[in-house]
Amino acid sequence: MLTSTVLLRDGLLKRVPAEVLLDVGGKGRFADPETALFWLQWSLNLLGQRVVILPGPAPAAPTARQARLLRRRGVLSLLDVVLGDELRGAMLPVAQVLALSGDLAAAGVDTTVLDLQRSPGGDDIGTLAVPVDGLLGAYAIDGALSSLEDLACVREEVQRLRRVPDAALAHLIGQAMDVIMGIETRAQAEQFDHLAPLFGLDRVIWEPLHVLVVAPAEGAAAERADHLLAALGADADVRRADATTGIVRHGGDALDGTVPDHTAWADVIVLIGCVLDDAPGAASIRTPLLVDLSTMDILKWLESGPRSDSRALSLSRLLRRADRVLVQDEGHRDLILGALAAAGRVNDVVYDDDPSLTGLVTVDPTGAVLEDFCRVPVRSADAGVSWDEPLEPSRPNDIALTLRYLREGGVKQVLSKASGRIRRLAAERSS
Amino acid sequence: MAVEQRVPETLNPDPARAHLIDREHEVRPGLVSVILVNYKGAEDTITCLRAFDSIDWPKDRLELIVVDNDSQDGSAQTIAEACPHVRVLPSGGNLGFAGGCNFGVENATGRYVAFINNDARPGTGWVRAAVEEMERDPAVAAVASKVLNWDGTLIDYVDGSLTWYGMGYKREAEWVDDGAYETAKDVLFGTGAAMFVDAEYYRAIGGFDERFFMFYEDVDLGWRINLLGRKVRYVPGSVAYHKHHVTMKKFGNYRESYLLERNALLSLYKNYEDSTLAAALPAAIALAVRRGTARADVVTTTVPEDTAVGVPKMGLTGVYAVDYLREQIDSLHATRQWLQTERALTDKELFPLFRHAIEPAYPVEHYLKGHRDLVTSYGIDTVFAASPNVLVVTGEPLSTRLAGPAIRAWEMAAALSRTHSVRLVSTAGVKKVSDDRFDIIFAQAESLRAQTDWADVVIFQGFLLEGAPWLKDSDKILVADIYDPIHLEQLEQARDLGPERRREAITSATDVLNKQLVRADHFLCASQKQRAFWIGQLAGVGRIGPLSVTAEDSAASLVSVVPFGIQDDDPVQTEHGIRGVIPGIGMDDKVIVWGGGVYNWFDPLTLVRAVAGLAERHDDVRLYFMGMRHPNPGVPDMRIAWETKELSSRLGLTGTHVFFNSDWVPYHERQNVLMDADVGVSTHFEHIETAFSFRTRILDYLWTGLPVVATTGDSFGNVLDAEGIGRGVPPEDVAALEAALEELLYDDRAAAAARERVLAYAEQFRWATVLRPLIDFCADPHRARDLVLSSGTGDAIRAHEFPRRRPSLKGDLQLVADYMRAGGPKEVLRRARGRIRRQLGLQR
Repeated sequence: MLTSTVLLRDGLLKRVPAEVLLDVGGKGRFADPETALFWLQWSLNLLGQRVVILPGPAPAAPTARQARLLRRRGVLSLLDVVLGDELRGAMLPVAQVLALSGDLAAAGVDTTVLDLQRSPGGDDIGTLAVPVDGLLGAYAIDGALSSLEDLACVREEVQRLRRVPDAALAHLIGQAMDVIMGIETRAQAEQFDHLAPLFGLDRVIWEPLHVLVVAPAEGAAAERADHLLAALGADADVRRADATTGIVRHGGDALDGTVPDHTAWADVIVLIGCVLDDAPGAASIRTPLLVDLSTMDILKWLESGPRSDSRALSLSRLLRRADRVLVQDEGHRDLILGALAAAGRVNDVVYDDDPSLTGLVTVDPTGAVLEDFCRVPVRSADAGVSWDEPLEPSRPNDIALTLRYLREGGVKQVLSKASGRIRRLAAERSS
Repeated sequence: MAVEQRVPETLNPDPARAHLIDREHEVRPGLVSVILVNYKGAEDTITCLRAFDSIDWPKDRLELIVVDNDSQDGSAQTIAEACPHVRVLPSGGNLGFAGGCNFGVENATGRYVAFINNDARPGTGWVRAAVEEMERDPAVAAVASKVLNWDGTLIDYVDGSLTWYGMGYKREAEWVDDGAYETAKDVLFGTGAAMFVDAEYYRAIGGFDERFFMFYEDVDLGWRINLLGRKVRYVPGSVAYHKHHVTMKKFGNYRESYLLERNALLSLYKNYEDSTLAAALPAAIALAVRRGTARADVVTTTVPEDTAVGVPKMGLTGVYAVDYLREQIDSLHATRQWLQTERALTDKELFPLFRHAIEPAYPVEHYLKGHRDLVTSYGIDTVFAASPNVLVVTGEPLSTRLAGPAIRAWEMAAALSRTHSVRLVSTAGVKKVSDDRFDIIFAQAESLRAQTDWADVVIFQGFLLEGAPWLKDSDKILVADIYDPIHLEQLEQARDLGPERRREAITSATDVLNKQLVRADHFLCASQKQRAFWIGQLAGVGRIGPLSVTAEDSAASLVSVVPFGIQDDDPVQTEHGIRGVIPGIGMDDKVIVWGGGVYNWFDPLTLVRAVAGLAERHDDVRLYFMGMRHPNPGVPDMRIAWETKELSSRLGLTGTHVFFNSDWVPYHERQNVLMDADVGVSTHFEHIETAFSFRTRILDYLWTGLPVVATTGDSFGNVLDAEGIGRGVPPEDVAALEAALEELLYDDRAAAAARERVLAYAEQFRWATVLRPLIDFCADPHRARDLVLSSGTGDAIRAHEFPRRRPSLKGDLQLVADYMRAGGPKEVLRRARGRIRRQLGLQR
């Protein structure tokens, strides 16, 4: 939502990448303060946080031309950063065309005037008088293109660190569609409804979540997978892989290929009672991965394996990659926490996100957490974190300062404060 | 003929094909209907029509149709009177080029329809060459004619290219027609200025899209034909001559720019599949807006306080084009749905016909920056990757004297250069060699880095990963050519080094190979036997597993069998290489040739002994060793070479029956030696190297038609008798070798039979055949799946801009002569200045 205020839990600030927050109000890209705060809310959602909007007076829509231009430009730039490739490809053209054609139409501009077929003549005149209001959408597109180079690294960072896929945010994006598309009138809403399916936006945004479930074909793990499929029903598109044979089925039909051929399709991958070796390919992709060990007696499994360290290594690999682990009881949770610690997963990032570490490893006897994860998959807090990069100790202060400047003096204040820092950063990078 | 009134009462409700009516059409076999659209250009039209009097095509198989696009200047009547044999059809309005052509096709009765601009004229063979090609190959739905300027000196069209944002362009336009465009080929589109289409097919797929009015309707039609699985073929014998852009000179530039902008957007919206459109459409919309604003210097960062602002028309071309896309979106979406349902080829399969999709085209800096940013942000260069750059690297020196690996690398470069930009790199030196088809470069260290950075695919032999360690963690597609199992070779070759250094040599060769096996994405070996061995070694380094298997391929597809080949052209002996040249070898002697170096795993000693035996019965037997040492100076002399000379000398054969060439025969002259021989020979000891080796010298024997005598135990030795191309003999069996040589030297019938079989057998080893697996891999190159999934890296293939054009001296000289004739030195100077400016990007 467009709001004039965003209140954040202090602990959350450090979860937002510094690059992202430097852009709040910085360098003119989100020079419209409401767009900057909208951008912040969206970033929090990408990071797996819930954003609650309380009823209250909404900020007035800008009336001044320049302010309207900045808002449209800012929202188009925002889409360039926050959306994954597929949704950006479907959503941005709709936003572009609505902005460009909507303003031309509202200002009554005759756009056939250059058309030899429909408007012949007048070739001796080189310039046209065009209502300025009609050009705002086009100028916003051009302005967003001017911001693209600066935004490239922000996009890369956001997409690397994001914890929630677009598919899991679709319902929230749908709620925010008026803001995203700049819809203020009924006619604009109708135009959006008309264009969305023609540009494939309907198809992409309302596609059910793709869930790949890997489990043995028999036993307790298989039963838990059956239970999950029944609970998800038609809300998700589920493919189920047999951990032993690698055969993947959709409904009752066997599909071509084995598990590695289907990991790229999935929005979320669930391993029940099996390890990464049973889902080759899941190790290196960014898709949220839930590991359900609740049907396994881990210690017994480790002890009863062949006389080698291969099961221990398998467990270690599995826990390094898992975004969330489910276990059957507290005793197993303790054991898994120990194994997670050995794998480096009990770290400052995970702890700061959730000091109880419940989000990382959870007792889930009923399968409720399992089902929830499939509906709203969230990657672990430390997913995408580059451990090789040195920490910037001043980062939380930057964020707090940015927000303070925004509150105190709006965009200009942030700009003036940030410009020195940006210059320094740029100088450091170029050196 | 009088002017015909054919304006339909009801148009087709589909605006894309309003003037193509859904009905049965009369089709007269063998007839070609030529359609010209006239708009206020009667004089040009009449000139064009009269040119048909002198073409090589029967008049009774030609239907000339002029569509008059409501010229309102009496054109229709003037043309009808001047050319009474022509059908003149007023269209009832200005339908544009697309609508006018469709209206003409609607009324045509030909089996084929041809389009020619009214400011063009046909060459003599324009119709015949095109029709013959379409009748010869039914897959061809359209023929793109070669189009030259009016006097035939400069090119207008010889191929079409398409940018990622939907704008077609003619890269070769205004180049000199220097004879380099005389090969037929499949193209994405022909120019509407002169082209042919199967008439029924044209109607079935909707013809030119009338929403375009004019410009790019030809690009769109060709794109559609290809997408639907038929072909557009450029036929150089079908020539037309064109005065350029007579129509648009009547209007402002912005008119043309607007049409180009909007029609490009229309084309890409219709024709791209979903995933391509997701990258291209938002970027193309932004780029269209930017192109107009940048070309007209419109400031878009701030808006004035005034109610209205004066904007140059050029600045609005992209903006209004986007609005036209919105206006037409409903009917375009219907067309898109039909096309995407019917499509036969994927975008990826079509991209090679785009040639180079990354082409910003307009040299305006603000626009170029926008183009760069969009290409980066949307990964356009990855999406539109086609025609990857291929680097072939050999560790052998490249000179006039080539060892086997260097020959192999050279042939790979040559074969791939037909479809790719190729560079051949030696890390050991390049001396006095060149090839028109690809660059040959000596590179090491940093200069090698520049070469690997340029490449998408790196095909290499030997120690490249040691010299270019950065490749290991790169996303380049690496193809390791391991046709030579060097670790097995070292078992024997390193014997002379002493036990310690020998062990080190074997271990390090194994390490080198293991590194290649761990990192490379694809492998080339020489035989099925080798393939099994390499798959085993791949398994040993952990490369065979579920990740290396795709739904389509087994893990074994990692390794292709690419034997050594024989060159595609037949050998021609330009001079004698042995007879009458080597003192002691006469024109009528029986000559056995040893066609390569003498290395430790070979057994020339048994051969020398056999020749000694033969010499007792046949005074005219001669054995000639082509080389005693490796052409690569880095390879040490081997013990066996010295022993061979010793034995020959001891037996009193040297200079009488046995002859040693102490030098190395240049690669391109080897046929002069081989064709002086009667039998080719290769003998070796029995050990593991032999079992997995592939004797390249035997291919030279096959190439030059020589019967072969060789030791059994390797891939050739075991088939000689079965194939009838020679005789296989057991290792170190002097008597058997002597008998086999005697038969093929002195039994004329046996020798003749073997020679005949050799030539037939050799065909399967032509380079063009043996390199097919490599060519296929490079047509769709990809990283090995297990490496991508385990490392998280993608592949390095990016779309590239056109490589810089190599200057054509012949073309330039011809052009200078033409300019001198036309305007003297001043004209030459003016044109030269223009070219320099164009090359600098200052004008188009």
